[in-house]
Amino acid sequence: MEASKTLLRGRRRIAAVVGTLLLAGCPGAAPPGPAEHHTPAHKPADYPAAVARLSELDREIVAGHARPAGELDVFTEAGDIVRWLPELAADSDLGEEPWNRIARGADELGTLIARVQAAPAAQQRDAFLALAGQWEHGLDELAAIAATAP
Amino acid sequence: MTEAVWIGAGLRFVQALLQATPTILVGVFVAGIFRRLLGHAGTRRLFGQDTWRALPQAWLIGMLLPVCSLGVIPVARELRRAGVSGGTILAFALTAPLFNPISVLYGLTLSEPVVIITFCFCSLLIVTVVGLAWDRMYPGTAAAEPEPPAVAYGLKRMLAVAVTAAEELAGPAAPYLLVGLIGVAMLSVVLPYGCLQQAAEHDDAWAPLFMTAVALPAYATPMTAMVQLASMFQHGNSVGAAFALLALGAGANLGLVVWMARCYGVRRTAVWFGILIAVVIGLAYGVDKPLYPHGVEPAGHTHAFDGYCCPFRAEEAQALPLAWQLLGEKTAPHERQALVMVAILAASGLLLKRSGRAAGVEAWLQRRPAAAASRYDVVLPAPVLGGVALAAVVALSVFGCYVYYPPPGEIFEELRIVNTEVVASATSRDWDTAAYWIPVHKDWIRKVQVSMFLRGIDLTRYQRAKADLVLERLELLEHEIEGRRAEQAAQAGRALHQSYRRMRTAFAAVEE
Repeated sequence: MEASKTLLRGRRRIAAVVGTLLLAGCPGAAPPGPAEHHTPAHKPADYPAAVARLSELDREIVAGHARPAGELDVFTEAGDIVRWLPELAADSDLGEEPWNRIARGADELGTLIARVQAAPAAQQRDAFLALAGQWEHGLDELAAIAATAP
Repeated sequence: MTEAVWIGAGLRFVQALLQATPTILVGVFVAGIFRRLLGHAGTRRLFGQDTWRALPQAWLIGMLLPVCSLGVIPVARELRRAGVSGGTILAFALTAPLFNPISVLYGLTLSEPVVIITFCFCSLLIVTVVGLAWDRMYPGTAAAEPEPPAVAYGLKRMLAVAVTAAEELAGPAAPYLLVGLIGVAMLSVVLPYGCLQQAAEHDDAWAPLFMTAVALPAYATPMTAMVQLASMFQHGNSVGAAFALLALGAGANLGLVVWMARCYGVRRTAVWFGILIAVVIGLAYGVDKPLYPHGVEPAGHTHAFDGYCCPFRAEEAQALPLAWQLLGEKTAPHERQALVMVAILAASGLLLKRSGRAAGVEAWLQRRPAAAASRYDVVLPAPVLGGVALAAVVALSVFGCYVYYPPPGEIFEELRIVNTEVVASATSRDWDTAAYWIPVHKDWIRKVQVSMFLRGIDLTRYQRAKADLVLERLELLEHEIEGRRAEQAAQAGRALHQSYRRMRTAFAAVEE
C-alpha cells in the first residue's frame, strides 16, 4: 500500500514536471503574422552606391562633423557597409576575379574599421585619421572596380 | 482547443513517425545484431565495459551509427539486457542521435566547420561528465540477463536478427516510441503557429534557456537538427540556443525519458536529466559569444522551429485537407519505403507473438543442421559476423551520403526545373505551388554545395556568395507569398531569377 502511494506520488510529480516543461514553451502570445524581412535603412541599394557612401562617410569623419545623439554612429555605419560589400557585389554581373578583389578589399577595410571601433569613443576619430591613408587607398581600389562594373 | 490544433497535432505525430522510420529500422536491426551475433559478452566488450574507454567508446560508436533519438531506444534496451553499465548506455543514447555522416557533412559545409567540430567535442564532454557522475552516484546499475542461446550458423543467423528486430518493434520498444511521438504532438498543441520565430535571437539572453525547455519534448532527426543549425547560423540566431536544440532536441525525447524512468527509477532519471540540462545550459552559454558568426546580418526571426509548433493557425477551416496535402507532398520516397518495412516487421512480430509460435521459431533457429558442413565451408564466428554487420551499417550510411547528395550536374538539372516552377508560380500568383517549391529550391541549393565538398570539388568564396544570395532571394519571396502580396512577389520572383542566373554562371565549370 505504502509502495503504491509512493509510486503514485512519483508519477504525479513527473506529470507536473513534464507539464511545466511543456507549458514553459507556451509564450502566451497570439501567433504572429507573416514574418517581415527587415532591411536596415542604411543598407545601400547596390555596390556602386555602397562605395559612394563610404566615400561620403570618409569625408564626414575627416571634416569632424558630429552626428546628433540617437543617430547611427558613423563608424558603425561604415563597418556595416564594408561588411555588406561582398554581398552587394555578388548581386551583380561582376566576374569572379574582380569580386575576389572586392572581398579582399572589404576584409582589409573591415580590419581597419574594427581597430577604430576598438578605441574609446572619444578617440575613434583620431584612430581613424591615423589609418586614413590605408582606408582611402583601399576605397580607391574598390571605387575603380565600381567604375568598370557591368 | 480548436479542431485545427488537434489536426495539427495528428499531423506532427505522423510527420515525426515518417521521419523516424528509417532510423527506427536501423535501431531494431542493430539491436538484433547485438543480441544474436555479438551476444551479451561481445556487446559489453564493444562498449569497453569496465575500462576507462567505456564512455569515449560509447560516444564514438554513437557518432558512427545512423540512429535518431527514437531509433536509439531499442539499442539502449539491448545494451541494458547485455549488462552494459548505465552511464555507458546513457552516453551512447545521447550521442547517437546527434550526428551521422550525412548530417555532419551538411553541417561542415553549410555552417562554420569549427562550430560543428566544437559541438562534437562538447557532446563528448557532456556524455563524459554526465556518464561519470551517473556511475559514481549510482554504481552497479548494470543488469545483465542470461546470455541468449546461440543460433545455428547459416541463413538462420541472419533470420534471427530479423526475428529479434520484429519482436522488438512489436513488443517492448513500441510503447516508448509511442510516448516519444505523443510528446511531439503535445508540443505542437502547446506552441501556437509560428510562435517560435523570434525565440532564438542572438541578443536574447534567455534564448538558450528557452530552447532547452522546448527541445526536451521535441523530436528532430540528426539531419533536421543540422538543417536547423545551419539556418540559425545563416540568420544570426543564438549559438547557445542552437547547441541546446542539438543536444536535447535531437538527443532526447519523452520516450527515452520514460524508458530511463522505468529502468533506473524516477529519482535517478530526474537527477541524470538535471545534471544533463545543467551541463548543456552551461556549455550553451559558454559557446554563445565565441562561436557567433561574424559578418552575418541578424534576420530578426527564423523559420527553423516552425516544425515544432502547430502547423495551422487556430482559425484554419481547411486543416484536414491541408494536413493530407502536406503529408502527400512532403513525405520523401525513402520515408515511405521505410514505413512499409517497419509496418511489415511490426506485423510479423505481432503475428509471432499472438500465434504462440515464438518458442517454436526460437527452437528452430537454434537447431543445428543435420548434415555436416562441407570442408570448403568456413563457419565464421557470430561476433565476426556482428562486427562486419555493424561496419556495413556504417559503410551504408557513408554510401548514403553520395546518394543523398548527388553529383552537382544532376542537382543543377533539378534546379533548372525547380527554379522555373518557383518563378512562374510567384509571378502568376499560384501561392500554393510557390510555397511547395521554395523549400525544395533551398534544399537543392544547399545540397549542391555539400555535394561539391563531398567530391573534393573546390567551392570558392565567390560561388558561396552567389548561392547565399539565391537563398536570401528565396527567403524574401517566401515572405511575400506568405503575405499574399502579388506585386512584391512578382518582383521578388524576378530578382530570384536574376540571382539564380548569376549563380549558374558562377558554377558553370562545376556543372560540366
